Amino acid sequence: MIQSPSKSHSAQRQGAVSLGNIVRLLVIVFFVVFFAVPLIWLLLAPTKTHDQLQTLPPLSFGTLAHVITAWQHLTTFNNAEILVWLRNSVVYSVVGDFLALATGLPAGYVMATTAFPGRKLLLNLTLVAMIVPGAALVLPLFLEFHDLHLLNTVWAVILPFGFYPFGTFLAYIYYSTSLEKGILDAARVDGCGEVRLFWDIGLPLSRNIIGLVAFFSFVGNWNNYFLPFVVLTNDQRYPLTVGLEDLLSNSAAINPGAQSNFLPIYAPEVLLAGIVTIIPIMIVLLLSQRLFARGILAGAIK
Amino acid sequence: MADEPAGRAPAPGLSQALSASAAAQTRHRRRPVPLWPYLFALPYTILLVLFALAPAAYGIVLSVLRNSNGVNTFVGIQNYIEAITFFAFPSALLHVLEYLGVWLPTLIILVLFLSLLLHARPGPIASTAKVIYYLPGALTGSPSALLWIFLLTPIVSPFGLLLHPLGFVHPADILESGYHHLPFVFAIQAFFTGAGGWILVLYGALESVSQEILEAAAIDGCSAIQQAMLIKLPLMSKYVYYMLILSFASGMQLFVEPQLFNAASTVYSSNVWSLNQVALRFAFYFAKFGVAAAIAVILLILGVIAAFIILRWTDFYSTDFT
Repeated sequence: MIQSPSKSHSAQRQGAVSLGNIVRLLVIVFFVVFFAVPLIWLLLAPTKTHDQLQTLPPLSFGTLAHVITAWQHLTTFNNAEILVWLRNSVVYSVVGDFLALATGLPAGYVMATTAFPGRKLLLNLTLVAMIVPGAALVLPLFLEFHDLHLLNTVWAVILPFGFYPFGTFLAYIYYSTSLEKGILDAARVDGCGEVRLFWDIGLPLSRNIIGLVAFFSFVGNWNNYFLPFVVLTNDQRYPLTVGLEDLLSNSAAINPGAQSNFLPIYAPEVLLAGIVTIIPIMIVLLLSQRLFARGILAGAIK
Repeated sequence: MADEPAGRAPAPGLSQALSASAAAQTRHRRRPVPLWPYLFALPYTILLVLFALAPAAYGIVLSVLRNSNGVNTFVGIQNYIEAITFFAFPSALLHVLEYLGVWLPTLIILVLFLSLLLHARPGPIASTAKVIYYLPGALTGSPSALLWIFLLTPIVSPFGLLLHPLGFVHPADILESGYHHLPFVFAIQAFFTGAGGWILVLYGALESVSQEILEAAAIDGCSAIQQAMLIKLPLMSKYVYYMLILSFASGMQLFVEPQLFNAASTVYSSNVWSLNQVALRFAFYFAKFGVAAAIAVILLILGVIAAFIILRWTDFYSTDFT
């Protein structure tokens, strides 16, 4: 039965309060609560003191003064070195991100749209690269950088950050499922060169996947601990992950009785540090959702 | 394509020429192989070799060597034998398989379900929900470990009200009560930190489903559920298999959650609960890097086998173009 467009549209508007939509909202809200409650607890934690976290109700609000105190405790270390680490994290993550996009997108695109000898091999190797246990690569990477005289330089962090097989493979899947052959063929008929084809057609049509890959690459770099930990020895070059771990893991909050520093770092400080690391991620996520929403493939075939 | 002006034929010649040349390449190689695909893929390939293939190859070499007093000697499969016969290895393997059995189906089903649910009506609710589902996974390191210790301690946990009916009342009830519920606890933790990312990926995949197809289906009386099952789901299949492959491998390599448990728990704690923990114990406690590398290779082989079963079974690499 074919309904006229106007009838189905009003049916959709009526559907706004249908049972199906109410159930849908309930399920969504249930999971929002599941994921958000710990986040709310985290946000409220620095407003309380270490002891209050144990004695006050979990979701109670302490005072803002405690937050300021906790922040001061974090910045007493080495003249607010936490801000240096923050800057380093931004630089490493953003530059690594650009490198990952610049190398991974063309590779994913070409593997999806052209048969060439070695295509499947490259795809398989990409998959294997993602399956290799990361811990197994640490010692060999260290030795590799040592031989290349790159140890303790920013390149030892940025260059590996530029290698992002997950993003490349994601781009491959996207281009092979969502890009219509007809578009490329039509452009080739018009004499479009391959680079222009990719730049003027392939890239714009993949905006939402570019946003996704850029976001995940950024977060992967931002949260990466193992690699910078192994290759960097100068603490002024540490990203947040390494610097904070250095600061927090030996503190009284995590290792009561075994702490090796006597800084005033307790649970609220640790959790405040967690908030500091998570906020840029949230900002980048919100930005990339706005900038890269909704692919524009729909009208392109016509 | 239906809108091309009448009288102007579409370009069959070029399409046929393109596919003919591809066939000719594979059969007779009369036409030269184009250079540009290699140029597109070259920068990425260089990084792949430098940061994945070379280190992995070295890791494999390490697994057949043993180091004593700075001298490496070839020992064949001795490291592998030592790994497999280590007292905790079989139980660690069992634990990981139990964990996978609980976590993998739950993850895939719930992620698919939530992505489709959100995408049924795109809008501010869906966008906000996506961000909230994702954020817990963004927390790592000591802050994350501390958060989980609090979450799993009934009296101070914000989930206290939920834990009481389940029988967890005292502070030590989860962290100190033994091993039998560990696969479930770790599965919940892993879901909590991993689901949001995959929901973002699948939602992104859904956004590229042609709006026209969905509208046409709606006009034909297709309900939202039917649209999800019959149109969206098949178009998402390659992303789902990707999720399956990577989640299997990362599940086999479970480390963070049992390690946290080991640190937080004092009575029942094991630092060799999972295979990856066994590997790290060999590396940093026994200082036997060769055995650690052997375990890593075993994990790699298991992951690759699973990956290629899925690839074969789903004909993953065939595309419209190739």
